[in-house]
Amino acid sequence: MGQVLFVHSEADLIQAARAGDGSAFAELLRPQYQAAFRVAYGMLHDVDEAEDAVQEAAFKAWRSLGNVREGSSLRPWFLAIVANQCRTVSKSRWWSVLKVEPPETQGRSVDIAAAMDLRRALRRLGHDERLVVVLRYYLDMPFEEIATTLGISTKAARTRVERAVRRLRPIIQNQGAAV
Amino acid sequence: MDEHVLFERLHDALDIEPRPGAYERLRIALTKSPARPHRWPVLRMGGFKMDLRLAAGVTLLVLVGAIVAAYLAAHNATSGRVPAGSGQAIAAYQARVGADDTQAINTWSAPCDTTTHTGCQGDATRAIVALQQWLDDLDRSEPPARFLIVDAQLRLHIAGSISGLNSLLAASQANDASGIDRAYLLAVAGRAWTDAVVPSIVSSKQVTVAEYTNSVRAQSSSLTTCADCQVLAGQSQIDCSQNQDFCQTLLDGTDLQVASLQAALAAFAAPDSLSAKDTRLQQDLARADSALISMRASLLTGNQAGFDAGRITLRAALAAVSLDVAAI
Repeated sequence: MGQVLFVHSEADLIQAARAGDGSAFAELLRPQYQAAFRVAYGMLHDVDEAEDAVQEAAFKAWRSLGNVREGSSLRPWFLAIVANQCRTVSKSRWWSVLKVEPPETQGRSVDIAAAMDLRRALRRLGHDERLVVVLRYYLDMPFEEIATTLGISTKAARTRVERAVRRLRPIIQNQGAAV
Repeated sequence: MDEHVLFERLHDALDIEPRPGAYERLRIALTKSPARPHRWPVLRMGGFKMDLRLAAGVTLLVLVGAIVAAYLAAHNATSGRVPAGSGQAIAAYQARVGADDTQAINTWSAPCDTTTHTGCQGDATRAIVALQQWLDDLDRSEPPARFLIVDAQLRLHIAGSISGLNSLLAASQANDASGIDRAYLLAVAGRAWTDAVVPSIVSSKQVTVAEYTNSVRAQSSSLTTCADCQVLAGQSQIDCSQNQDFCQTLLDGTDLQVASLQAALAAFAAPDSLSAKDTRLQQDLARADSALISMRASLLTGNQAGFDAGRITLRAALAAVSLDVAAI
């Protein structure tokens, strides 16, 4: 957790957030923000939409904070809410398949064409398969944490990842970017 | 595809940091917002909201009761005693299905690597033995009424996996790499279904009308809005010989939604007052599920006519599912 926990424990922050203290809830989310943004960006491929999705998810999470069981990790719970928010955004974004945006590489030396191929290939996966690929290979999550986040068994998470990867490979290869 | 390569490719394609101040913007929004979290029962609330609170409270009690019952069932199973009454057959069935599923997964923990095509024959052979054992166990007794329909689908999916693994063995012996890939997808489709549905069978409990209705509505909305399902069950022509991956994508997407609803129905078994409607819904879902199984087999063998026939059945079944859900 962040520096604030030297002053307030997570339990104190949860209690304060449940009582309506927005800054306490923001502190709870601080260590999760990076991962939440990555999930949203991996799913939506748009920085503005990703930021908005995390913010909307944060409000939904705050409203349902009473459902979090004592002692359970906040991260999978919050990431699941972010993922659901992305699903909602995607449903209202009928133009998403048409939208082509340049990859934002922030100075890294990458093969731009290959990056775009992979992003297009990801978009062709369904929400659930795209999500497991993002969680596994973008957030480096172990299968156990993917399972907790998605509310499925570990073996189901493993199968879903395997199937998504096998689906991804021919799509990428067909796009001329053999892996 | 090598995991490490995919990891690097994905990071190259997507690696990006949030814009400066992104978290601060969130913090300020949360701090300034008048929004407050939902709280547990507030007695001064009245009317509809009060009913919801009461329903939530009752739901909690039912859940606690179910957890205690599940604990007792598990305890009885492990200590060799069996619970009395109709729960006996259900608990026995759940234990048997859970054990066979675990056994099947353990023997197929590392399905053959379709990148290097190594170990396929050994993996597939072991998995076929375990899956056949599972089918034999299912054949030895009648499923409880609650699981009658899902049991039939379970058998179909196990048989589908066996069929896929046999095709995989044949393709492996023929050194047919693309054949191995196609057969693998057929085999793993059965496994994906059992992964989704078997945990729900094992944890199945009868729930209240409100819980059942909420569960059906929540899960069926995903099916209704599923883009893959709409395309696959739609009227436009799909030529799988020209685009097998596309057909595979549509099948996987639809399969996932159908299996999820089947899993929800198994996990939250209908109360007696809704059993007739639940049976109709399960039957229509089973029709959709069976159509998907046959379409997968058609795709494997390049049988476009079979695939098209499956689409017609699927279309009718999903339309019936929509009506069933609306009636609940």
